[in-house]
Parts: sequence; C-alpha cells; structure tokens
Amino acid sequence: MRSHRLNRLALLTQGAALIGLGMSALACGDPPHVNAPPKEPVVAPEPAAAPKPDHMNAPPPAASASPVASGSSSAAVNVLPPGTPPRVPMHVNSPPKPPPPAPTKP
Amino acid sequence: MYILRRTSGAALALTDEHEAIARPRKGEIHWDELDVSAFAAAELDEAAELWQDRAVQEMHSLALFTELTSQLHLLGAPLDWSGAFARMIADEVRHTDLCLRMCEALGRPAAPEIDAARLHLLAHASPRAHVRHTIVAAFCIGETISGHMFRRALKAANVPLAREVVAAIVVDETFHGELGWELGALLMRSDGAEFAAERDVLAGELAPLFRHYARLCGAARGPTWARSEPEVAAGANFGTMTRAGYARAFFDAMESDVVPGLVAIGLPEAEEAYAALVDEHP
Repeated sequence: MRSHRLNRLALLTQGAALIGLGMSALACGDPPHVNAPPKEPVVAPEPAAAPKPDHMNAPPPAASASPVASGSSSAAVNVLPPGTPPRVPMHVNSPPKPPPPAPTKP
Repeated sequence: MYILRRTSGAALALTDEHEAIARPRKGEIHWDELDVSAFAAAELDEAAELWQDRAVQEMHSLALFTELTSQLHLLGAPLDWSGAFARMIADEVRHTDLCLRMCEALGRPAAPEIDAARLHLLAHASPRAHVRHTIVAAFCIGETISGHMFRRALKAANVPLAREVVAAIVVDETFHGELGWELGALLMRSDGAEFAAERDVLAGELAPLFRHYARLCGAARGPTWARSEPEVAAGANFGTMTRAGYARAFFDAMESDVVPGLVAIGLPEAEEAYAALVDEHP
C-alpha cells in the first residue's frame, strides 16, 4: 500500500466516532410508519447460542486448534482428504465467527 | 440445505432487474464465444469445479455482507454506509451469477448445495465490537487477500471467456478493498475508554485471524515454499493458480497491504502477529 494511502487511512481514524452512538427515542405523536409491521411484545433476549462447531468459517478456539482438525462430522463435509490440494482457497474473505460470550453467573 | 438456482424460471420483472444488476460494471462478457470442443473433457470438468466452488464462496460473501448491512441502521452508521453496502451486496450477487453462468458456458451447469447453517451469521443486533471485528477480518484482511488472488488469476487466465469473467470480478474487488479500508479506519475512531478496550481485544485477535486466513489460503507451508514453486500450471487456464500461487498471493497481500494498513488504522500489533505467523512456517 502506497504511503499516501496509508497516510489517508491514518487521518480517517481521527475525528468523532460514527457508530455506536445510540438511537434517540421516537417523540410521542409521531405518525405511524406505513410499511412498519406490528411490533411483537418485547421479551427479554435469550442468551446468545453457542456458535455451531467446526464450520469452515469457525474461529480457532482459544487453544488455536484448527476447526478443520476438530474431527466433527460437520467439519468433515468441507475437509479435503489428506494430501488433496484445495482447488481454490475456501471462503477467502470469510472471517472466523467470534467466540460466544462468557456465561453469565447466576 | 438447498440448491442454489440462478433464476426463478419465469418471465418476471424481478429477474429482469437481477440481470441488470448482474451485468459487469465495465466491459462485456461474450458467453457464446467459448468453443468447448477445443478442450478435453477433463479440463472442462476441472474448470467447472473451480467455478462452482467460487459460486459457493461468493454466495457466502453475499450472506455476510447482507448480515452486516442489517446492522448499520441499528448502530447509527451514516446513510452512505448503507449505500456503499447496497453496492457490495449487488456486487456479490453479480459474482455469484457470473460463476454460475461460467459453469453453464462450460457445458456443466452448476447446482451447488448451500447449507444455510454454515453461512456466516452475525448475532442479531451485534454490538459494534463484533461489527468492527467482522469488517477488519472480512474486508481489511479477507477482501484484500481476495483482490490479490483475483488479479493474479486474471493474469493467469488464457481462455478469453475466463479472462472476461475474472476481469469483471476484479473491477468490483478493487472497490471492495477501498471500502473495506475506509470502513476499517472509520471504525477505529475512538469515543473513550470503551473503544480502547474494544481495540485491545481486536489487537489480540489479529494473530489467530492471520492463522485462520493462512489456513484458508493453503499457506501453512510458509512463504519460502510459496515463493519457490510455480504460480501457474501449464496449459489452458480458466482463471486459477497453483496451490503455491494462492499461498504466494496470501503472503504478498499480507506484506504489501494488510499489515501496513492495519498499522495505519491503529493496530500496530499486526506487525508482531504477522512475524509470529511467518516464524511458525518460514
């Protein structure tokens, strides 16, 4: 990457943060939105489910074992036999899934 | 699981609109000009497998970009982010479509199976740290590497139709790289202590991310091996490289773009993380 582009990227990191600023509440009396579906009753969110294991896009676990090496049947679907070169890199721009949040203590 | 189909099979306005979206942004593709009789059946079979694999990869990208887009209005991103992502989604629709049409042109229509459970899915209403992690991973690292690979595949392709299709993809990949880095930089703007903690966590995730992409790119044998083997095999080339060629593209992308870019946007830990990766397999 050329230096002018790197400098531009560095400059872009300066300034006010653009996301995560929260949303202001709707004022009372706002007209209903024509294409808004009826809202479901608010329920407490369930704890995030653990990610499915051993996807090609799964993150390495804390011990840095390869998801391919885990040996589960779902990983086996996309695992090539030993010695077989991949035709193309699989899902090059697929990031690993983030690990699940730590369980909440009661 | 479902079979990915290009169209709904009837004369629909939605299909017409899709075809308009799926046309290359630049250039033309002469689908009818490939003479399949000029190639051995085994060559065509291998080419069709390559392009079917790519169709599945592009579909995965489509899913991921759609998921990211669904988070933007929840996180308060400016409207131009949604506009840019709308283009990204259209690009991945185009790429998936091009790959499927390439299989048809080879005389081997693809019917790839898509496992919806394996599509990369963000948690509903992901916090911004997850969105930042995914954008750094998928764009700053993933799309940058992918762009390098496709540009090399374009140089390697010697079948005219394959060159046209890869060229159409490369046009989009160039924008994806630009967008990814801009988003990465904007997401590294601080708003206090919470951001600092998020940044530190992301910095700690770089080493496993680099190993993850090295594995995906078949680069586990290291840069010395990758740079000592031929990039391209002899014969008809439908837009692919050797395993070493893909691995070389990974290392070159990391050294020329990914690591310097991550340092520039405030993740200097990228240098040490990459050095550690190379040390593992020199």
